[in-house]
Amino acid sequence: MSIGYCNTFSTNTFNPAADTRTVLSSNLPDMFKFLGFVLTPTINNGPAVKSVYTFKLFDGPTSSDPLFTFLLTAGYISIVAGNSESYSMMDDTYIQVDNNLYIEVDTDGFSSASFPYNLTLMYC
Amino acid sequence: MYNFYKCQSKAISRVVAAGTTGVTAVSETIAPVGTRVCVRSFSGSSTSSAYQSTAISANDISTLVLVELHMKDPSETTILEILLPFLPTLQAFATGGTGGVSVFHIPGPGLISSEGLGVKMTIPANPQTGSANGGDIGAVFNLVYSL
Repeated sequence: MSIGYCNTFSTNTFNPAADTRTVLSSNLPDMFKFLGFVLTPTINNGPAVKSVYTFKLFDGPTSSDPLFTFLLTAGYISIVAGNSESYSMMDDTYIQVDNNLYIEVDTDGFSSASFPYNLTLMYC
Repeated sequence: MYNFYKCQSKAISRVVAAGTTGVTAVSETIAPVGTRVCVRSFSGSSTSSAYQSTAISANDISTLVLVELHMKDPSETTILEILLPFLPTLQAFATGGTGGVSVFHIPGPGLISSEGLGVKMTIPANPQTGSANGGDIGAVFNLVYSL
């Protein structure tokens, strides 16, 4: 068995709806081996500064447990962008995604019409 | 010939609102007692949106986030303990920030527990309120393991 070479998929998302699970991209296959990702928000302000925002990745639209969760900071000053996050699997490990990758954020301030967040996925 | 291991992940997270006076404790069972679990990698971070106004003492880790991985045996033997400090360096501008452990790949074949696996996370009190000092705090621990 071989994992094979890594593919990448990158997308910029504007104005995500709060607490709404959405598929990352219909262009991705439903089933793939998850190898890692980089999440880069560019928020400069949210509807509620001084909050902690939650970003979750799910396998499918109905699974109860997220694959990964990240918390991002919206500071007191409105020019502050959120912290970047990432996760990489070890060379000999992978996570099987069976029902496509879904995302969910807990605030529509996670990105705006002018400040997207970027998610780059590594998979095969 | 390489072997490749299909893994699973578990995310433990909690956001603690401003004005919370007590410690927040989160416990999750990854696998029940009697199950063999191999932890392969993890990451963890704490985050504060303003700044953590509670003084951090070298003799008192209750002002930090503590994450413990433990077996599910009766004594809940600890196999890994991680502290996730709140980042204080940006507090002059009250911007908050994130501190913790970036993705860590456990060397070799992994960290084995033959008696299941649980995670405990404790987050300190967040008693401050108001626009000057108040703000949410939170902590997250992502874990990749195989059964």
